[in-house]
Amino acid sequence: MTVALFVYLLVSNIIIPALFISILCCLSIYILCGNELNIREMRKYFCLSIIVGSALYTGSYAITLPILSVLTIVWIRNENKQKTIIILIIYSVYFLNAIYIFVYSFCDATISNSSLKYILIEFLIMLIIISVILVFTKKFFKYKLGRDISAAQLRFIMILIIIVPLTICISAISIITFWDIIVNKKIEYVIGNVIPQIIPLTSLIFACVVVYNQDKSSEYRVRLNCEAQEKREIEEYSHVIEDMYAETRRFKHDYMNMLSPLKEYIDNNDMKGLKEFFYNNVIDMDKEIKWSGSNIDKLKHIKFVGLKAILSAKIIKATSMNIDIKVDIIEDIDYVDMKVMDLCRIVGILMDNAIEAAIECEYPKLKVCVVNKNDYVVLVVHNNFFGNKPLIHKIFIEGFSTKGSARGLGLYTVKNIIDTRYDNVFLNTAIEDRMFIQELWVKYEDA
Amino acid sequence: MLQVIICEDNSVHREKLKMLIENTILREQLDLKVELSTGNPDDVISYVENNKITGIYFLDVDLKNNTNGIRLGEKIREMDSLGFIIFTTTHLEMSYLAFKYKIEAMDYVIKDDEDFKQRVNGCILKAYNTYYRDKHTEDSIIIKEDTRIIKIKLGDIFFIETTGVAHKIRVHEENRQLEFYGNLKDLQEKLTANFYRCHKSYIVNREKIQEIDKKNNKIIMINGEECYVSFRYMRGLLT
Repeated sequence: MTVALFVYLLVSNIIIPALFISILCCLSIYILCGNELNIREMRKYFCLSIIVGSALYTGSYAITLPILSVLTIVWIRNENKQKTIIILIIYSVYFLNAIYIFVYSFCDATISNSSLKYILIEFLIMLIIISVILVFTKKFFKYKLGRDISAAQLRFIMILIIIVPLTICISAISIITFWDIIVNKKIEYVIGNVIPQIIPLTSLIFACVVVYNQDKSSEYRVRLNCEAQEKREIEEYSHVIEDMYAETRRFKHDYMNMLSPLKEYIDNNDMKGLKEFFYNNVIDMDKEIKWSGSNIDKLKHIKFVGLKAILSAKIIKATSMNIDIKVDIIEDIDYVDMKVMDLCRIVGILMDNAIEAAIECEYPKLKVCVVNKNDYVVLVVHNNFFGNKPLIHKIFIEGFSTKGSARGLGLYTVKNIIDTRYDNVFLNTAIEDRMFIQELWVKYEDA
Repeated sequence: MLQVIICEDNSVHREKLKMLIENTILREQLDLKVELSTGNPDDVISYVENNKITGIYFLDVDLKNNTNGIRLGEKIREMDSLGFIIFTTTHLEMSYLAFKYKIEAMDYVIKDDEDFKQRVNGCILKAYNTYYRDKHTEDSIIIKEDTRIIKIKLGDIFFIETTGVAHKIRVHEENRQLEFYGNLKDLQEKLTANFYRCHKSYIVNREKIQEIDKKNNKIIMINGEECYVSFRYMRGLLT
């Protein structure tokens, strides 16, 4: 085989069909999840589907399955449901195409090699089929996604998704064996072209569906855990508030008792006694009361429950460790434009770090402040620290910690979350006057 | 031109504060004048609105008015982005941090404190010096994002990098790292010649380079921090 022929075959048998199907894939992706995509992403998906197509059209089990498996693993290595759906769509389109080839092989007996004309016809027919299917799926999905799917329905869908392709696959094989006696050429064609596509695709579609549902359920689980945690924290917060209220009531009760002797002194015109009593008992009255966590009431301004929960938990923790804590919140904070879970993780890490650093000092100090500034919400944590000034660029490195190994994941995680998921969140770090300062600026995206 | 503006509803406190400031100006021979001393925040707002000024503002936190000190500060900040706002208060429990971040307040002074006088003096001098130093030397840049104003001293910058997310850049300094919207190309136009674009995603301050690791295409800064240099730009860095 000459090089020219090889290239010709490569282009006509692998690249061009893959190119056409890739166009279909992108069309489907655009229609099914179009409102969230941009051109750059689209180009990525197009390349992905070309690679999938090229691997499939080689028609060899030995090449197809390993390549596709590796591709799938790499593609959905992160828990990203969107990506799983994308690759699922691509596989489904190729699967539909394989079915089409299968059906087509029975209509036209004279297919020996696929010419460009044939590919073009295939493309046009597939375009029609896929558009029809897309319209139906879209309607179906809209209807479905409107409400939560119950577990029973999920199971039903899972079984359906797995059974239908498998049935098609098996019936294909049985039909071939049945036709065995009649046309030999067709069987060769089907075995050569369709089966090597259908079998890897079916197995990969299974895998993707399972992964998708697994991701979904684990996401539910995480969210549930997070909510339970939040609830515990809010409960703790309400306990502290109740204690403060009880303290206030006791004070109210006490102070009437303590003021009534004043009347005696005044009635008797006993200025000296009054003076003595006043300075000894009355003036220091509120010092006797522990205004425990008197700062925590400032959290009333925070209307964003997740943030309130995590802040209160950390403030209670800091107070219990005898840290001099000051909370500066002067206005209502309604919303922070981040995923609650990410926000909680970041705030939790920042507060934990601040507490850990401050507790080493003789007079541990911690200041927390949340303000709205134009279209930003600014969350600030100040703390003092003991010993040498930490090098700022080092604290963000994975594994760095001033307190031995296996601890320094905190700030690295924070930076990682912000840098990979949010373009509206900014983290500023500074050391000023022996205070360590972390500022989290979160912009409202659609303001 | 820098001006001093006082807004304080208690006339005794107001006169005392005014006298204190005027004494400081006389003693230190500052090019400064108390232009407005009032108890009504609306006067301040209309004054700032009509005269485009940079001011040193002394604002009482609890004005007996619909507009309290914070709202007033916010309004002033909208009109005078570079002004110096100092709050006066009688509370010890002052939410200073919130003021600092919300309206970039410079400081606060507690009226009944013994060191009230010194604090006021300190504030005036600090504001005065900052204003004139920044004006005369071109050693800092101001980055105006639509709602955020960030001031960076050029001499402090080690290097600037892009982050994993589009349009977000991070400035590295010795004691600070800060992030904001922007792109390196626009930023480089504001920088002086000793800043060099050494990589697609890095601009480095030549003055802060300790050594260049040619083998690994790295630059090591004087604090040990590393940034990358691409092969293409290496030559320009070495000359």
